[in-house]
Amino acid sequence: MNKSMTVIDRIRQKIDQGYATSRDIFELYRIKINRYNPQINAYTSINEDCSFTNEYNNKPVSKLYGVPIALKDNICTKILPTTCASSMLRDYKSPFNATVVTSLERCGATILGKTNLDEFAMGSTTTHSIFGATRNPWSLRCLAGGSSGGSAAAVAARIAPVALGSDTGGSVRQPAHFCGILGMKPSYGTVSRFGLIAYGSSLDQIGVFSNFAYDAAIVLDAISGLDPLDPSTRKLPNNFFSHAINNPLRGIRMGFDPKTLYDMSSPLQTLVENHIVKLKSEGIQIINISLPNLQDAVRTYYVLALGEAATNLSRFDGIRFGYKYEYSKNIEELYLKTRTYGFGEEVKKRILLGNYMLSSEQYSSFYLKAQKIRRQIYNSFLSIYEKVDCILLPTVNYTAESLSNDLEGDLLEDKYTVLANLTGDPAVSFPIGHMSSLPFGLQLTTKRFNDPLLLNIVHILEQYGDCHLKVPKIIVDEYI
Amino acid sequence: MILSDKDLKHLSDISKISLQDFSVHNLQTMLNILESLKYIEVLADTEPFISPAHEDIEYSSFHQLREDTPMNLLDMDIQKLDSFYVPKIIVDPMDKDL
Repeated sequence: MNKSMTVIDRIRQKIDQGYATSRDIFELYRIKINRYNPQINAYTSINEDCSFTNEYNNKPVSKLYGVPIALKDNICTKILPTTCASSMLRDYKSPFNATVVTSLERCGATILGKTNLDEFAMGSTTTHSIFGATRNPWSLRCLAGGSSGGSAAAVAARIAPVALGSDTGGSVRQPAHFCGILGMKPSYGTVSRFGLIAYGSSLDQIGVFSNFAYDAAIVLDAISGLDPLDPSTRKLPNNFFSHAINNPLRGIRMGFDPKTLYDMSSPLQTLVENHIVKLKSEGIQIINISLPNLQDAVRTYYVLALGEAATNLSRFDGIRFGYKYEYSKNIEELYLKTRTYGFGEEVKKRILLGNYMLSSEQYSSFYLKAQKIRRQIYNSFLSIYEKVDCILLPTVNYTAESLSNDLEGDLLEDKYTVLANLTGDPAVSFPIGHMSSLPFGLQLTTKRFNDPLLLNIVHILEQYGDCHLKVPKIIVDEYI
Repeated sequence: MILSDKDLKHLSDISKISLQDFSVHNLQTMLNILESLKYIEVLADTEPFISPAHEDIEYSSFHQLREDTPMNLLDMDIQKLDSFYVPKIIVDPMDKDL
């Protein structure tokens, strides 16, 4: 593989030089999906014909023209069902496209299919799905992570060149880490969430999976910017995400909390320490910092996320859309039976607890308290960013676990990823090596709307390493 | 903190979810993990953080609004408003109604 050419570059080159049409590229990926998806279970539905999606296919000037993209199955599309991997929305087809889908189609990108997730994006394993678990392409016995595990596994297995996911507490970065690819959660307010089925509205952000930082930048450039349908979005300069690619790294001040090494295995500690040496050799200045209390942060995150989830999911009542219990005698029974049968166990647990946190007796002890702690965490990061330009921290402190392990009891494992959701800052997870043939990544975060810095750092590091080029063993014919 | 039968019944009622065949144990386990949040100390005058979008207003138009607007008009409880709608309500400091 040519190191200087990214996946999007190679697709564009084939189209520009007349070796393939956008339909050829789409069909090639469909062949790959048919071959590898049965083992991985990354997709919930596959698009049969790219002509249905590409209404704007006369614009070959766009860098995304002809590039097939997979979408997490909680992003609304007119052409394919949007199920959230839930019985509640098993047959739901949205009457509108999410803004990100419209933006991609305007660029000439094609929608490959929808990818698996934990029901309503609630989980970190992609096992809580009506479609069954997604498997990690690096080891089919291992978890792909979640909740955007389908998108991560699809990109890792080269059955999608790039994919979108959603990140409420690490749901893009954590599966990217386990699957050995790049996962970027951009700043809150950069990418419209109109058409993303909401989980925690103050935390949710659409993110991107890719094998190359440049590819992530190109996709983010296409889907970001002001959207009147999402008042949290901001107008951004053209090529906001890609403009800083290739800037020199010398002089960048990168914060690192040495305590984060303590809860890693010794070989992983060595991997991280070696990576820090590499960063220093690129002229990056590593400065010791102290992160806020991570256990407090993750509890704060869950109280807020559960409260917002309970509110957002109250709309699934059997009346407006989605599953409806047909045999109810009155409206109360309709609500109760629809929600009891429509939601899975994990979602019901989160709704019940969220309503508990919001109840008048508990509101000030839990929800309001969490909002105040969130302010303190936010202020802590503002102080840290007075001393450093970005922060290096683990994404997760271990490699992918076996599918038979039940990790759901251990909420505190999200301690490194929830920070960027609480602050609204951008964060990217990128691979740095492999341990026992399973990938391991690190995470970079920076202050809000400083996203290009992160992608540039990862891009430059890609020039001096080959970790992002490694392909899972199950992939025996890596076209494109 | 142990959820009583009365608590569970109340939660089931307001959530419109039956607890029949539901693992209350898992619910209780998660609550136990989150409970220690109650004992974290915060300064009394700490302002709640609503959402990052709300911070955009805090640091731009809203501060201008504070300077230009009589205090009684700032008494509205913006914390209880959905963050999606906050910008529409207070983002325009030139609004004559304010």
